[in-house]
Amino acid sequence: MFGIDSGIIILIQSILLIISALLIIIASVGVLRIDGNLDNVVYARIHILGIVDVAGIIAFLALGQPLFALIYLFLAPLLAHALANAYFHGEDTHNNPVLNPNIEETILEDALDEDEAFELISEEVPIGDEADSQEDLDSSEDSSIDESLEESGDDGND
Amino acid sequence: MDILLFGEYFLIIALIVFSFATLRIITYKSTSMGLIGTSSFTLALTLLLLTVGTIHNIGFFKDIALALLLLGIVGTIAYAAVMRRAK
Repeated sequence: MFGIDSGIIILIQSILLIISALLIIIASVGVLRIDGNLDNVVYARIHILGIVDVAGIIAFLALGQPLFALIYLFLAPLLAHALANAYFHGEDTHNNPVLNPNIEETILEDALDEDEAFELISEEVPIGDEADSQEDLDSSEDSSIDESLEESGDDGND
Repeated sequence: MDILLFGEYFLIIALIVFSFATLRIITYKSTSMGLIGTSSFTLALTLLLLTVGTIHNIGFFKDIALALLLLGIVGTIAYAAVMRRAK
């Protein structure tokens, strides 16, 4: 094929098959080991199964079936998006405000907690002498500018 | 042992492991997890059919695999669309 030795093509096919098999095994272990109690675990599983999609396309090509690879290359993203979309609009009570009306209050409470935490952190940070001296410098610059404006008789609005 | 045959058998073993993983996903109680597992199982079965058909030179396995791949994915997308509109 294309002037390439058939032995090299068989070697490439074998390597691709082994790579796809390894990817499939890794994805299987990942799907089984992921904690089911995590938030958004369905999206994580869809994400992991994307590896299997790519491995499947590689295996299709290695088995000499480019039509399968092309079909699956176009259909796999549609499938993943349709599944995630259906889960979000149908069952996702953690992110969808339509299914869980209390979610906005929860987000607001989280934001308030973050503000309080930020205030606590900013209170704990000591303000050094450098900041005071910087403020003094700023005020002195302002006063010097005002004095120069008064001397020139200009009100600064021009 | 031919290295291509070794690769094909290694892929078959990986696909069998993956099939059990997808069966575990299907057994979760939510509908979307069942859909995800079913679509992945369809892919695994398609690859298994193609690999076995390639090893044993069985021609109609390819036709079955093509029909399974197309109908399985299109059916899953259609069910997902219905599930999205139903709620």
